[in-house]
Amino acid sequence: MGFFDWMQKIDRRWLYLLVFMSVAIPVVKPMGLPISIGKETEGFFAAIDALNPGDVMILTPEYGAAQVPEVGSMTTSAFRQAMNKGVRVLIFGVWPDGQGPTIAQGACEAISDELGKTYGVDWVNLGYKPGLDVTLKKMVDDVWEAAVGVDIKGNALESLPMMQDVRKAADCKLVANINIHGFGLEKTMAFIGIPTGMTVIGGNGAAGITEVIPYFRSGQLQGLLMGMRGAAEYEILVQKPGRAVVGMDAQSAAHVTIIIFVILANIGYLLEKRTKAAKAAGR
Amino acid sequence: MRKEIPLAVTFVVGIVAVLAVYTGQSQAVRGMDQWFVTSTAFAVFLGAISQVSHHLRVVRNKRPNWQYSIVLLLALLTWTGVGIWDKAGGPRYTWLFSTFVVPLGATVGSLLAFYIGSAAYRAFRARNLDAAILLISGMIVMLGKAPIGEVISPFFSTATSWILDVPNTSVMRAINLGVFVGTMVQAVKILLGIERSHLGSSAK
Repeated sequence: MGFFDWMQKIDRRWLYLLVFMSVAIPVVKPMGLPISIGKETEGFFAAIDALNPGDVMILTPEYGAAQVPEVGSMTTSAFRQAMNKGVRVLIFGVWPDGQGPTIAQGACEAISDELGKTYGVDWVNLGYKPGLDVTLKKMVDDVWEAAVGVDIKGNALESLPMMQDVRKAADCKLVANINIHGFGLEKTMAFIGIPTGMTVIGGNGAAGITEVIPYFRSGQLQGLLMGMRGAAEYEILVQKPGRAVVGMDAQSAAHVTIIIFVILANIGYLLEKRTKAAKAAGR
Repeated sequence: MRKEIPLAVTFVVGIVAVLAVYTGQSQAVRGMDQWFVTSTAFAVFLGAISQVSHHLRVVRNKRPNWQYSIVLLLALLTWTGVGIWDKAGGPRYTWLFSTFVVPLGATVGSLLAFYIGSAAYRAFRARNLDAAILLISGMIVMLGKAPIGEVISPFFSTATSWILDVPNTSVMRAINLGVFVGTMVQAVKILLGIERSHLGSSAK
């Protein structure tokens, strides 16, 4: 194997090892790289900040366990910002894997306890409700009916003081959808945002960002958290740096590692191509 | 009759739904929405039965990797049992979820870093002008979205914003419009029975 060929065919186990090290080392020993705040994240923060104490916002965590490291902190940071502001939060999920509200429950309970908030008074989690588009549509007319009258713990909604003020989606002032792909955010806009005219903000995994950016540019989305970077920027804005901020150093190192490998492979490819072309011309 | 009845049901329900929306018959729409939610819940039940019977067959006939089917059946039974007994937000269910599902899901998700890294290294080649543009813009966005890019040069952040705001937004709008028009056309075709692939191969 020639040198140029070697550059293109380095054993993938070396790549795995270097990617692992580039992720693990910054997590154990963060570099503290500066993180600037984008206008999309500022929009997300400002939308919740503009609410008044006592207002209710909808928070829909629509992701599975595999996506928690990337978008999980978006949910907890939004919940924390709302609780700090005295804004009440209604959580539910309609995405078929149904994991988001269950994952959010534990994290939100911890923040609620830390800030001295009360479940049922300051926030309610309705859990996963099947039906996707139809359930979202139903939320606009009747939240109680859409939730089949119970929350995630099986409590009757009549027994929860906050729910006395929330009969239909329009009783809430804002909806924040945290998703891994753009699809869920589009549905939230179509079935809740547009019919009620309420403010819509969203957080998306990096893979879904290209789908939803046009909605932010058009003003249909007031704020957008873009991938783990957006989550890290938002953690800084709510003054509670956490996993996403630490993850930024790991992401930087991993991206640089992958870019170096891609550049090496391309140099090898182009030089090999040139050598072959020169040989063919000399023949 | 195996294709006529589903086609007739599709046509009638579709037409009623469209008419109900455009004539403001919200009661009719609500009724159909209720059917939809009920049938969705029933589909989950049906899916569970189908999965159990399939994996029981795999175990009974000792097909390759039948041991995994036992794990699946045990997990399905455990989750269903604990879910019914403790409800989805109960402490036992939550413990089971955060102890098994969250770490397993995170492990599978994190493997993507290795696969994407390896795939980028092996497949990302500047073979022609188009591929070179994709390669360069991809690397700019990778650096622009990570803090290290701003440390190296503010160019990466500015260029990333431009790539996402201008070429990406315009192309995504075009794709979205195409998808929406295509979806409407597909809906009309299904309603009129022109498109029948959802009924299975025998209905074509």
